[in-house]
Amino acid sequence: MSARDIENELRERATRLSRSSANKQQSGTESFVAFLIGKQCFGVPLQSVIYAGRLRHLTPIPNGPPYLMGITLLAGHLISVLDIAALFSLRRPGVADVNSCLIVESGPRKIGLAAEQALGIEEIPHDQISEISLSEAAGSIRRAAFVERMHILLLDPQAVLADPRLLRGHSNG
Amino acid sequence: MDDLLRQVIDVYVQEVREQAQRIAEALLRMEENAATIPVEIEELYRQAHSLKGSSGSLGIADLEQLAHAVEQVLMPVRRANAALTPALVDLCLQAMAAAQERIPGLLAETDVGRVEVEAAIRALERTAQGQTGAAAVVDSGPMSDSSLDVQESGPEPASPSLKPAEVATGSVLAHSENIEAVRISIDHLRGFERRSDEFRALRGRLERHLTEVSQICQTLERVTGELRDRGQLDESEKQQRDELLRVLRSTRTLRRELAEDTESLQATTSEFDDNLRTMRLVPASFLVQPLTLAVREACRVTGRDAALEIVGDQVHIDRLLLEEIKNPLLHLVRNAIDHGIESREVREAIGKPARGRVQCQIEQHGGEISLSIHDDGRGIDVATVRKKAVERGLVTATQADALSEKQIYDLLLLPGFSTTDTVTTISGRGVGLDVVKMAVLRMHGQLEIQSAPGRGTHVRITVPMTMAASRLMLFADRDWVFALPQSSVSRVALVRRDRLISVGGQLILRTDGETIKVVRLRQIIGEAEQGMSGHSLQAASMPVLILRSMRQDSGPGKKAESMPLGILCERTLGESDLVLRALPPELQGHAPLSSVALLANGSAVFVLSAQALISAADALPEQTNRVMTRSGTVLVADDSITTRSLLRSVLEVSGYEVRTAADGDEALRLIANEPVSLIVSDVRMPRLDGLSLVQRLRGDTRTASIPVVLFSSSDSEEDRRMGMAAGANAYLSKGAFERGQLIDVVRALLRGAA
Repeated sequence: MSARDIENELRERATRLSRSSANKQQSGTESFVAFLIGKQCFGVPLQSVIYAGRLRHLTPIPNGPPYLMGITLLAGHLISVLDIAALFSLRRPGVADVNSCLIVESGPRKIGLAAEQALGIEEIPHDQISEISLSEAAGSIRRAAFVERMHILLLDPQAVLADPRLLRGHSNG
Repeated sequence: MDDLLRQVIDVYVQEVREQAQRIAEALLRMEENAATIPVEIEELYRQAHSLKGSSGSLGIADLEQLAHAVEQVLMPVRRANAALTPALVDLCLQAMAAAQERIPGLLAETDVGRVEVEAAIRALERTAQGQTGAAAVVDSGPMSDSSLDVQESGPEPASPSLKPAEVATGSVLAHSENIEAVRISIDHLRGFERRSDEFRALRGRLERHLTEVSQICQTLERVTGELRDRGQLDESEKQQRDELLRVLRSTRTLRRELAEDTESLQATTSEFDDNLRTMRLVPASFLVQPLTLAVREACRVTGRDAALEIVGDQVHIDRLLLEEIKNPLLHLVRNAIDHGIESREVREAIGKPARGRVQCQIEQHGGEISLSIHDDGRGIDVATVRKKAVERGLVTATQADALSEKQIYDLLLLPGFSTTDTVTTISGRGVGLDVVKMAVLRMHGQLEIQSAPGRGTHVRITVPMTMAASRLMLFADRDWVFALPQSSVSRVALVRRDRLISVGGQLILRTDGETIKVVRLRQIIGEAEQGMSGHSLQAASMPVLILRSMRQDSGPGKKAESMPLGILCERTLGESDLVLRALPPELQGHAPLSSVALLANGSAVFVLSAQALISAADALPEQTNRVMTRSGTVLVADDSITTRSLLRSVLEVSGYEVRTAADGDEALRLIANEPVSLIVSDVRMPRLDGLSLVQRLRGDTRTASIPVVLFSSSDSEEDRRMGMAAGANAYLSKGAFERGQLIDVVRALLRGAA
């Protein structure tokens, strides 16, 4: 294959990919990374996830609040690891085997979301996303979706990070 | 543009961009969630104050006034006297947008963006006047006194150094090229650091894998050796032996390649770190220009006359440290002019040289850098500080009289504290010294103020020489590892139990003619809340880290000097030079944590603040010094960190000593070295699962009788049957976990085993 052929092939692929992306936008879908924690499924917008991987180390926080599980160095980022189910009082009884972590960012801030299992990327059509109203503690979760009989609570990283409990000086207790 | 301004303008515009962006982000966060206002508004004020200060020192009057006007218009919100309305947010956001739009004009030395900035200032001032009813842009809150003179605050004339339209517009491009050619942004440097941390963690993991592969090789060598020694083998055994030998050869090759890769990565990371260290070191002379400009500008605004002398500007400093320390030093020299240096007339009248003197001295002592700002002005008026502290309700009049000189100086470091009744663009808003203090604490440094009436003030900042690595003392309590800066530990004493005496519920150690108050680390880090009140002293002797005597960050009513403090822990892990990182934002202010150090294996340990430990120890209620009898040692084996932590917490609260392992293999190694009373184990684990662990325990006479509780998320009847058949004494479901049930089972099994 000549250099020109390769270039043409690449150009064609790029066109196909861009059409595919445009089609998705037209059909009105949003991409979320779905994960399980506390027996509850959550989704976080794909574009806000900068890393997902195994949680190799976790340093617990002395006298820290129950929703902050600890800190870890992941992909060069030193982050707090948040149990989102505990933060929003959505945890069900039992023990969660947390072994994964998603790093999400909003503006300059990054935080790790603890996960028992990362379920993968879900392309969720807009018509499957509904507005919801949860308890006061989970007030910043305003959307949910049913995908293949799975109920996914959709997180807005900006709203999560704006939670006063995650602002500096509020973690004592 | 004068030479000084030209040399620092690139740095300045970057700061303007960052500060404007941070202010805008804070505004949006406050608008989104009003509960964050008390926290965010302080951050916003710090950014605005820094913008005002750096603009002022460079003579960029319009941005200085803009920042001042933003502070003014938001003052009622800061004092909780007014709501943050959308209109107010819009106004401030427009102001920040105007600041950003001014940048091309500053770089090109043209008027580009000036009209927008001036319009924003007028809009802010109009709104501020509407809020306060005052005619001038003057703080009318409790910090000022209407009976006192109000100093300048009106718009300053445009800086003579910025001459419109003198430079061709193409100079913006010239600047950009220059930046790319000579500057490495701090963000990039931090990015390199992150990579360096990751390399170090990767190296640690590779070294661990190499050890594991070596162990596999040894096992294979032993097994194949045993087969060889047996001599006669049947055909099937020969095939198995040959297969094992093939695996052994492959494993040896893997070990060799892994060792080479590990060595190569070690060399690369060492070189990378060396280069990074070199990139970070710059001479302190980088501070000369901004400090000179700050003094010049402060003198212009206040009408004072002072010369700046810089001593030790050839000392090399970590570049990140320099970036951190620059603004605190600018605050200090401005304060020295505004609060310290007297007017020429006054100085001549009292026999001082007409021109004041401000000296900045930079020295290196071992691994520390000290930066001192000394002025020959009037000194701190202790009586005025006392009076202001009483007026602001910080202390009662009686308490104020009892305050030591050191405590008086510490009041100056409180947020919002100001002795000046006037609000100027230089000082008087109470934002400044607290910013200095916070910055110094972030750098693990110390700040010391000395003053003599009529002779001047001396502020000394001492910080570690580099922010890249710091000498730390590592110590552990159970599975928790912590660190303290080596400079804050005077010595470590290995203390026998009977040397600790209880005086009024407080543990005391007398050593080398010194009386030391001793607290257990667990008492300070919050374990007491989980049932660990009192002191659990099982070992015959334990290490006590005796903290270096330091004057406390005292609040009113506390003693200035206190008994030295010793921290009792389980074991020390030696000293190490470790990379330090700032605490994640969610944990800032979470005493006694001050920063995070990264270990070679990529795990993070909290660095504690000695000062915060002392304060926390002082705040502890007096406790009965009882020796808690432990009910036994339980080993928790689970590959989930969270499950290990949860079970440890539950069991410790019930009086058990707890050890943890991440899999069955590690559990067996631990049991071989230390007796355990009972094991709680997960079923599905890497390397050696829970069922195999139980079988191995039951197959060894030394461990056959240790009770084992299997604790699993697999809880079908078949799972339970297999667990019990393997030899477990109980099988509990993670999905139906209840603390009480676990403890009941553990107690019953231990009673049965006794």
